[in-house]
Amino acid sequence: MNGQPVNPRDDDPDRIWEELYQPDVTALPPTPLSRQQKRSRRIALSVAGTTLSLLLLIGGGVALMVGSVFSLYTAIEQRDGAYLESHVDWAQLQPALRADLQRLASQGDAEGASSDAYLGRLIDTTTRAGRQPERLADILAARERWQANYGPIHPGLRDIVDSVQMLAGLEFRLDLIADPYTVVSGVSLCLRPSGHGGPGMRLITLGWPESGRHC
Amino acid sequence: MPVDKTVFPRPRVSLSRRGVLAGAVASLGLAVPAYAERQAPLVDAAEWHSFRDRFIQADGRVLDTANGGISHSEGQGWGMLFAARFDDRDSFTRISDWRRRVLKRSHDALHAWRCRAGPAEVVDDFNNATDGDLLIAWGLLEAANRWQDAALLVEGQALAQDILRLLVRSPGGRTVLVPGLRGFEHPTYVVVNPSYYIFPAFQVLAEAVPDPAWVEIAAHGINLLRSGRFGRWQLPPDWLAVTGRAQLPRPAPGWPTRFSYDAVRVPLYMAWAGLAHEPAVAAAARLWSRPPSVVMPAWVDLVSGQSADYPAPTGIRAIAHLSIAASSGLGGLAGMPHVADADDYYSAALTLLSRLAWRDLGMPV
Repeated sequence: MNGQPVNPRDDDPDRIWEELYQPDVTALPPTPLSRQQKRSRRIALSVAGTTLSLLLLIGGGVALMVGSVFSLYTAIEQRDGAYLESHVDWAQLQPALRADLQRLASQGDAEGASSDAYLGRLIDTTTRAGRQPERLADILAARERWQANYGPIHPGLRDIVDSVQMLAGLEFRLDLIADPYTVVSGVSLCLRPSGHGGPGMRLITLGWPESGRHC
Repeated sequence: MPVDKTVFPRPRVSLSRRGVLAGAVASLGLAVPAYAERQAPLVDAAEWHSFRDRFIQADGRVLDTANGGISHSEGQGWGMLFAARFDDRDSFTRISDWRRRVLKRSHDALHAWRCRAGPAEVVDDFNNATDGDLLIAWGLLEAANRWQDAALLVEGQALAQDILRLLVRSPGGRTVLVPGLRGFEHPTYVVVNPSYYIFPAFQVLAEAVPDPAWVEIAAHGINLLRSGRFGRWQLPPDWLAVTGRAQLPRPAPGWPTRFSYDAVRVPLYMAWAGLAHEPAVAAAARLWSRPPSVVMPAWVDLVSGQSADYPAPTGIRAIAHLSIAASSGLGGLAGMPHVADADDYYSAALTLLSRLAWRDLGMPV
């Protein structure tokens, strides 16, 4: 022994290995991307961006629609005549409703002079009464309880529909993300984005879901 | 005079647990709809007083004197309608309160159809009768308009909504009103009572609850009454079996195949609604227009051709007078029987209804 103190780590294999092997940490020079790789990356970024935009657009659109319909439903429930007056296109609603009722009457095969007059009065009565916001609320309430004549629902929107239905008691059908948005309840409310007055939608017709009527 | 107005037994059922009526009906700030054109003709007030004094108890219970003094939703409904038309609010309140207290079902807006005779007020069948519920709704809505009473409107609307919710069926694509919640739907057909199509009431109910279903019910009902006529006289039976639009209706199995005490109301309600030229009204007018030497029968059997061997009571004669006048323009109100001439509750009610219809139609007095 030469009298030097013995380092207790001299026999530590890990230490010996660390001292002997010092990896070269210098980064390799970047390899230039091929043109094809650059193109793929650009496409991937583009697709991702477009998808994100579309998702945002769709999400925004759906959120807007849900919000608008909820506002409309709230207005109906609360019989907010002023809101409904500004968001419901009664001028289009009346003849559309009357046409739907006329079609219903004709399905009964009850044509004839006196029956036409009677059914015409009944149709006029129903149409005229449906003009009043509070009557509209009553129809919705009754049909909701009746649970009849609901239209089909776009499968991808089922979750949204369910949650909104829970909130608003309405059932939705979106045939296309673009307008017309079609909202179906028992009385088939067909809505389009409002042409005025901000993000609200305009109730343009009120009819029978199975009639196949679309906005 | 023998009276065989049968109260056809409805199937006995126990009150089912149904969903509680949602509180979505209008409750605040409602404008009572205006039925200005249906304001009551008060000129026949004596006829109403005659009915009221003979058949309505002090507590508002309407007695069916031809059926042992039972009471039912039909009687309460007619009583409410009469009282509203004749501006008799005190009577209306008593009749309606008794109806609400005794017949009103707890889990929906409909009514049990029958209360046993006697002071105990025992409801022995909780099934409803659709005509009774239609009449009660009609009476409530007429009263709501006459006295501008929003509470009556709300009650009438709730009942009209439950009629649509619970009593409409679509056998084979034909929209019908079932006569009651229970007992009329069979595997291959649905039993319908044509006289439960109270066409003038549909107008009032549609104004209060403007649901497209009223139009559908009325249109299909008119068609049903065109195709559901049988026998030599081509008249509707008291009870029809309806399968679908592809098949013609037929007299309901298990029921008498008669144009009788039920079906006589078909021409009454159709004429009242301005449908006097429908085949069912014209056919009844033909039956009742035979020469005076031929006794007007109380009923005719649509299969055997047999007629009752006793004459039609006052109420049926009143409907006959109305039907003939409305469809042919012959006759005046002077020839119409009076309530005091009627032997019993049913006949008196039909007489008063015929008089109301006459006035509503603006026919010559």
